[in-house]
Amino acid sequence: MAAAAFGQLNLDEPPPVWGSRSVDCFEKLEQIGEGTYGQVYMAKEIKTGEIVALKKIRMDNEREGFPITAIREIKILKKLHHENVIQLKEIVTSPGRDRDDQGNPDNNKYKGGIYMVFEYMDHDLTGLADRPGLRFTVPQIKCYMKQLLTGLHYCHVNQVLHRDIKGSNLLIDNEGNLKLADFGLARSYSHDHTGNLTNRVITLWYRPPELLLGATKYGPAIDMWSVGCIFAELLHAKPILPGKNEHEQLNKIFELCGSPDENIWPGVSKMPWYNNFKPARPLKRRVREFFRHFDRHALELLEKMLVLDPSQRINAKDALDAEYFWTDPLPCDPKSLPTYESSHEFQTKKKRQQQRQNEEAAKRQKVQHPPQQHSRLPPLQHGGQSHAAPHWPSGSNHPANNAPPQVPAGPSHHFYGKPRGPPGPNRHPPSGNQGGSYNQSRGGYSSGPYPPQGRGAPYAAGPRGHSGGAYGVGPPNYTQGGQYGGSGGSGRGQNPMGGGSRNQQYGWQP
Amino acid sequence: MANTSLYCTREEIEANSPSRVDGIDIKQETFHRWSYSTFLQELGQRLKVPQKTIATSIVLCQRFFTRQSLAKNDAKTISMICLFIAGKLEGSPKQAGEVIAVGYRILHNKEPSREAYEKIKGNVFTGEKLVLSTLGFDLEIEHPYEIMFDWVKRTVKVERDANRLYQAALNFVNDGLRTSLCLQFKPNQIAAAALYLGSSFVKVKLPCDGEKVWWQEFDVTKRHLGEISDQTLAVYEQDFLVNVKDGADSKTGDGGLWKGEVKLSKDDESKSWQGLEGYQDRKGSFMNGSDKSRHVANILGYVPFESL
Repeated sequence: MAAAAFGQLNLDEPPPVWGSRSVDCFEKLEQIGEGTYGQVYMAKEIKTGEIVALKKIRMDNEREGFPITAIREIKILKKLHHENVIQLKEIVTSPGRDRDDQGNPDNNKYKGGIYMVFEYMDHDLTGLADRPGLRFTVPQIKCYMKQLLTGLHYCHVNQVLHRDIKGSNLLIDNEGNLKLADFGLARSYSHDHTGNLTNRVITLWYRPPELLLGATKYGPAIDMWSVGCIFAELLHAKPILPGKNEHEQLNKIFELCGSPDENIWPGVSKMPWYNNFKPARPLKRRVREFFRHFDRHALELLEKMLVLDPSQRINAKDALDAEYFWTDPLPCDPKSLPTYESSHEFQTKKKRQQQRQNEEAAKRQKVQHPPQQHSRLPPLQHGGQSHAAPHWPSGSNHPANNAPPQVPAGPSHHFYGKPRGPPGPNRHPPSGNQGGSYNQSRGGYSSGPYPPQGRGAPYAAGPRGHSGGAYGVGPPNYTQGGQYGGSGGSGRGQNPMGGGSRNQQYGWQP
Repeated sequence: MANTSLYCTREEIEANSPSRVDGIDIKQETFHRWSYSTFLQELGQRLKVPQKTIATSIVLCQRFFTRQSLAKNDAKTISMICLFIAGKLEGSPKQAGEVIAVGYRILHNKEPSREAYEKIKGNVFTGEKLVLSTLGFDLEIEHPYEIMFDWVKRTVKVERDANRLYQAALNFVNDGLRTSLCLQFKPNQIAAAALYLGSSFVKVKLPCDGEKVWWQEFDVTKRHLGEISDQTLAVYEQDFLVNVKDGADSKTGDGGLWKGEVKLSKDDESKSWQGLEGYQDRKGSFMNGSDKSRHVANILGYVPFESL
């Protein structure tokens, strides 16, 4: 047989045995979430009776095929196997339409949707903490914190940054196990990583000062700041740094942790946006004062997490060794924790959300600028209604010393995609990003400016300025060569994210 | 770490390929492998994606064709899909439209018609799921680059030597992507062989630490090192490449290996990839030609492994 004709694809046969199974292996029981990327179902595997969560990767709205966030999440979750990290059990495909437009049987096995199959989890930490009348005990908080740190330590050892640690991404089952979920913003990093990373990650309330000050080189310490915020939130019973925008967020951080200077944070004055956000007068660190009601060991640990300078912030491993976890009352056994009724009452939530929307609409008509919110919800920074417009003025190729634009944080839906709506007394921080992690149809692709990679003449110029390498005469984009051989900064022609990087949705940045 | 089951022996690759069942022989498949890898290298460069993205696309494509037949899947479309996916995987995404437009230009030396473009685009989006499913969504792909770089930086103290060695090894790795090496060996093993070939080529001695031979830390045996080296060099002597200009302007030390012209032979198979013809002489990365292996070995100062 000759080779396939141009454009021919083998779509009629099911994927080979090592490919994915069909979603028909599962019986959908109930929808437990709804995100812009698609639905999440509680389902039962027919053969085994096992209960799972099916997260549909919706592609009808995708202009660029399979969503990049889903690709990343799959890639990362496939290599992570830990009891405190959500387990991606498999990927299944749905058979798609049975008939084509003419009513003929359509054998194309690849028209349908793709689902990620996760172990089923009953709750998320935010939802649980928010139950009326529910207060966590100290051993319970220690138990959750210990699991959170253990899972995060595992990620960091495997060179994965989560980049969206917050309560709604920490899932809890009825056996008290806590697991990190939603790796849609996660990425691999290496210790000597030379490329720049986006600072537009992590939901605002949990975002560390270095990102707010514009850092593009960062490491696991960013996740540890978020852990600190969650820790304090558990003890304090409400979010500790509920900023409405990036500026206010930094102010709140400085009011709590003091304003940074070269003494406590060497290098801070050279951060891209330091001058824009420098407080008018120095502020004192007041963590101890604010949280004086915490017990001594808790406070001691929290102090080490909420350190402004990321290089001095405690890491996950050392945090696990903290006195807090080894003094009475000790963390309890997860299995000893009480069980709660499932938190995924999708229909109830939907109703509640509808009610909220109505209230909000009424409120908006009354006041242009709503008063200080008492919600536990980071606000939509676009007023939540600019969905059709692109985030960024096109071509704002501004240098890094401009004030950071008022951009929403990354997607911040509950992992299972609970309904989200306009700002309101919703516990779940909204997705500031229109679309959420599984929908980038309005983002990077449509506006087009990708990170220009390896521009310049990294390879041809070579580390020693030689040209005429094997590939030197071709388009010079052997960035590896330049990057790694680079002794004189001639490596990459430029920051791989380019000047236009902030012009994009986070999802497309490294 | 990559799953070990992702690797197989050369014999397995050659005997069990789904293409073989459909009557495509080893020679043809080798040619296709060379063609789509070369195509992806060019496509990636024109799209200005990092080399790592290009390498990922080639590995994806090669893995795909260990599970699917060339008779049922057009390698050109699959290649474009693999680059499209690799861009997303490696954080250097390119729009499907751009990939198609540039790819079409390489293959056909003209712009696609509106109709052709839309058709390919439909194929790319559908085929993306085909590729991902066929690969079982195993998308973590490692490469030898960082391993080599770290090792050279740590081990070779003279900076000039380190750079020359790394550049030479890098070129061997990139040229080796046109072989099935990435299906047989792990990145660390390929890294070791490329460093060996590179060191022969630029005449940089690799340090020996007393009893310990340098390649031990790459978790590779001497036999494997020899096999990888031989297969890498074989890419320069494929018999579908003919008429190479003299490689005499190759200089050592500048990271450049050879300059030469390559033309595809005119058998039927190669015609389907005729778009590739146009740019090889520009690229000039291939030394080749019939029975040039000894010549290559001479240029390299390559010492057959048995005599080490």
